[in-house]
Order: sequence, then C-alpha cells, then structure tokens
Amino acid sequence: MILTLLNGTGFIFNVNDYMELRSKHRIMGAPVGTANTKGWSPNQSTLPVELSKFETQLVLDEHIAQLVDKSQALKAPPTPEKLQEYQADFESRLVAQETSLKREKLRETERYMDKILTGKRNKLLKQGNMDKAAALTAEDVLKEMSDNFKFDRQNALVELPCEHLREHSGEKIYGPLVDTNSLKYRIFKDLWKRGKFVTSGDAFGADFLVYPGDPLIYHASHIVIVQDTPVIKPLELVAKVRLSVIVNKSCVFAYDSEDSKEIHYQTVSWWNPSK
Amino acid sequence: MEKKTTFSNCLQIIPKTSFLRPEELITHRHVEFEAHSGGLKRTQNEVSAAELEELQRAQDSLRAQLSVPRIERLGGRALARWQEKQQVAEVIRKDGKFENFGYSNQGKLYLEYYEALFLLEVGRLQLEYYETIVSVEQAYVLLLGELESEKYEHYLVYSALSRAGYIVVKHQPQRLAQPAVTSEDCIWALLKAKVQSQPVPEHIKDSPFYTLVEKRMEDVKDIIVSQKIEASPVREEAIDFHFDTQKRKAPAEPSKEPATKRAKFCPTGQSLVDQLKNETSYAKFEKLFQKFDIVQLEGKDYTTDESIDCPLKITFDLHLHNEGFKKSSPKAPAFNVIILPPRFDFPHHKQISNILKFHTAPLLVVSVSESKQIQAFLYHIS
Repeated sequence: MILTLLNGTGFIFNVNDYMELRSKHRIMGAPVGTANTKGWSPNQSTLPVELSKFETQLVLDEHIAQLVDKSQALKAPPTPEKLQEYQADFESRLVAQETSLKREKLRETERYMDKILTGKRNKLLKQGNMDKAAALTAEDVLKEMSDNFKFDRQNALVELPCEHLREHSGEKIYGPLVDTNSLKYRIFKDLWKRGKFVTSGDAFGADFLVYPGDPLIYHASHIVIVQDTPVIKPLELVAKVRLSVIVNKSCVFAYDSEDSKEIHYQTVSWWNPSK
Repeated sequence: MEKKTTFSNCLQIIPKTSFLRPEELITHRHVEFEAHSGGLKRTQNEVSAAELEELQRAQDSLRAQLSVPRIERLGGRALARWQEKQQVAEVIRKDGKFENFGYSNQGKLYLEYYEALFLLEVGRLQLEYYETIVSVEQAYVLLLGELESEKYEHYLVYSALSRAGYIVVKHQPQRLAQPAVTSEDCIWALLKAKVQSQPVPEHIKDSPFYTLVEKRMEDVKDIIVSQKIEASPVREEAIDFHFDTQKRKAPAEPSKEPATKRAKFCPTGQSLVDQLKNETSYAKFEKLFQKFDIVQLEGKDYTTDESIDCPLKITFDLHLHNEGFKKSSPKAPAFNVIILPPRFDFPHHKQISNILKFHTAPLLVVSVSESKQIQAFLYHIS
C-alpha cells in the first residue's frame, strides 16, 4: 500500500486501501475531502483521508504501507510523447462511450414511452394525419430515435478520478515524521498494539481515545491522558476523572517508568457507595 | 519534514484501479448516497454475530460514502488551467453560477487554490495542467503541496463554511468610510485646537457646520469674558433614590402569591430584566444619561498600524447570500474569519480590540483540531 506525502504526512486516495487500513490495521485517519453529493452536508467528508503523523509513522514502522513523495512526478510537465499518449487514451475513452450513450438514450426513451407516444400522436392528429397517428407504435419511435442519434463529444462522460490513475513515480520517504522515542508516540503505539482503535483525544481535551472496536459502531471506552510524571495535582485528577465519568468512559493516566523502559497505566474509576 | 534524516529512492507507481468503463460511467453517474444511521453505538465488544453483521453494514455504508465518483459531461463543467508559477487557476470556461468565486485581473478570471480545489471536489470544475485533466490527488499535490502547510487548514475551513451556506472570500482590508462630519465633531476639533493646540483637520474645516460652530463658540467666549450672565432659572431635579438601610425582612404577611418567582415579578411574561425598566428610578436615570456626551476613550493599548504586533491575521470574509453580495464591490462582511494556527493560543482582549478597531464585523476565530474537527468561536466586545 502506498501513502501520498501531503501536508507533511500520509494521505490515502484509494477507497480499498483505506478500508483495509481501517478494518485490518485499525488506522482511522480523517476524511478531509469535500464530497460532491447533493445537500452539501458539512459533516459529510470523503476521500482523501489524512492520517495523523503518529498514524503515518506507525504504518511505516509496522511496514503496512510506504510513504511516497509524488510532487516531482505530478508537478513535472509531461513529455510530448506522454502527452500524445494521454490525449489518444482520453479521446478513445470518449469515443468508446458512443454505443453505451446510445443504449442509455434508448433506455430513457423506453422509460417515457407512454408520454412520448401520446405527444407524437397528438401532434399528428393536429396535422390531420389520423391514419399515421393510429399506426404509430413504440417500435417506430425507438427506430426513429436510434436512426437520429448523433454522438456529441461534449455529451461524453468524464470521470475526475480521486487517485491519480496514470502511471507515475514517487520518492520513497523513510521518515521519521515524529520523534519515535517521545512518550506520547510510544503510548500511542503501545495502545494500538494491544488491539485497540486509538484516535486523538482532542474532543475530550485528552491525548487519546481508545475504542474497543471500529468507532463506526462502538463508543470510546477509555480517555487516555499522557503524564510526564506520575505526579498529578488533586484538582486536576478530580476534573479529568469527573469528565470521563460523565461521558461514561474510564479515565486512564499513562506515564513512563523511571527507567523509561515501560509504560504504566493507571485507570481511575468512580465509586459510588449509594449504588 | 527534515530532509537530513530521510533517505529516499524512486518508486514506480502503477495504479491498481483504472478509469471506469463506459457502462460504469452511466450507471455510476447519479449515485444516490444516503448517510448511514446505525442507531446507538455499542460500548463493549462482545464479538457476537449480530455485532459483526452490524459492523459489516456500517463499513459497507462508509465504503459507499467514500466511493461516490465525480462524473459529468465533458461540456458540463467549468474549465480552468493551473498556473504553477503564479499558483493560481485561470478560468477558461465558466459554467453555472460563478458570482462568488475568483477574482478578475486584466480581463481574466482567476481562482485561488481553495476555490479551485473546492469546485473540483464538488464536481463543478475540470482543472487542467499542461493540457491533461488533473485527478483529485494531483490537485492536492499541485494546489496544497507535499509540505506541512496552513493551506490544508484554510481549505478545510473554506470548504466547511461554504457548505454551511456562507459566501467565503479572501479578506479584503476595508477602508472605513469616514462618517459624515457633525457639528459635534467641529466642537471637539475646535476644543482640541484651543486646548491641545492640535490643528483642525481639513475635512472638518470643510464642513458646513464649522463656521457656525466657530462663531457660536466665539460668542459664548465673549459672554463668559464679559460676565454678562442672564440669570437662567436653575432647576434641580431630585432623584428620589434611597437605599433601604433597614435589615431585609420577609414580608410580614405572605399574601396570595403566584406559585413561581417569575410569575410574581413578571405577570405579563416578560423577562426579569425588562421588569426593572418599569421602576421610576429607571426612567430618571435614563433621562440623566441621555444628557451625557459619552466619549470613547482613546486607549493607548493599540498601535495605529494593523499589521504590527498581532500574529493573527484575518483570512476570510463571510458574506450572506441574501445581502446581494457583489465581488467587485463587496459591502461590509457579516463576519471576519481568523484561522488559529495549530498549537496557538486564543487571542486575548488586547489583540481582539486591536483587530476590531479596524474591522466592524464580528470576529470568528476558527480552529481546526487534530482530528480535523472545525470549531468556531464568535468574538465581540460589548
């Protein structure tokens, strides 16, 4: 799998790649593309998916995907030969639509046949052609439509593909994109390795959110707060734990062991004796 | 990204997918996509068959959402050319409404990178680069670039606000129109000239009030100097406002009171604050305040130059669709948008007042979070 280097991190433009990353490797990313669906709902985003730097780094570390800088290839003007090849290919894709477009036109005609027939009959009646009007059949209309069909280049359909569909090249990037020895990255990786979905915790003012399964159907179960030291102020503890209790999640404090070899997790839960 | 630490080499990329076939183009052209509503989410992973099925459904729906193609007739989109050097898209052919996009320069229409990408992603623009049609991926590379850049956040904000129904345009520094000179301005200018020996500005001298006011002030000065005071009856208005110095007590006899406090004080259902307006002292104070000239203090906490000392810049102006927006002569915007760079502090009062000094529209401070959520905060100083 190949990630495109953009904004200093990895982007995915192919839906299969993204679904594989998500369902197989528990990498979420964030869809940042603007959807062209009607309604323009501000919540509906589409491909590309932007991975966070942590996610990109993790994917590189685990050899799940490669990160590639395509800027040189995609910014360079095509050679005359390439351009000719492109134009021939583009033209052939337009012309190849002739039969399909004709078939579609006839299909549409058949769909509205009743209306077309009545309209045509009325027209003939107005002109005084009673016999012709009575004799007009659906087959006649279809034949007329088929004989008169002219392929117009402007009506050929053009797809704006999401991922770049022509052969191109890119420079492999090995990183690192983030400080892989930082506590936060090590915690991110550790939680992910435990089989969880890990996302940014910014919605709750924390470092990470941990999900027991795909966030499509599961709520986050833990709010993870990265602590530089195991020491926490009582008021801070109350504030963080109260928030997590209210949103029905467990509050986890994560910090380094003294020799920085191990990560310690402490889960705080609210005990209510009256219940 | 640091190039020093990276070691790179070349990779040939042959895409796994190909262009849609003619029949696919036709069938996929009008894909109707309905957002998945999966009901309540689960809190635990119990690995049951029902769960797996639910997950599969949700994933299929997500896949469908992400696979909606962008298909249009060759003649059905606007056409623009990307100019790498100037980093703008030159519009070759317009299609559909274009009033709210682009800017003209020497008879040509250009699109900013965010406008071009937005139109491309919603399927209204065919962007060409060296006579080839660019894919969305190539557009991201060309328009936003491979390096970490604020362009990405600006584009997200532009897209979100546009989809939310605003007209989003690049911020234009506004020349605040000089308000018409009133006789009061003349008085102040004259006072400043007399007391602080500041010269009277030309535009005030030009005012028809100026000579009148000057004359009147001279007359008053004469009267004061010559001590010819006409005895005018001095009226003193008593304000009967006295504090109840006694200890507060509950009413001796609880009379038949309405059940709620609100009903007690506001029998007509107005708010409690409005209730105070009926008090006699309110009217008196109101009258009194009207006699004052309220003069805005010229604080010393801002510089007169907009660009100095504030790291926050207004990026976009928002206009409303029903206010007759015109690209060539935009009216005052409905909002000014500041996009907060990542890990930046929110602006403090001084910065806000400094910015508001030059802009009359309310300030929208927008931040894009790590998870690409967009939050907007409306600032105004009352």
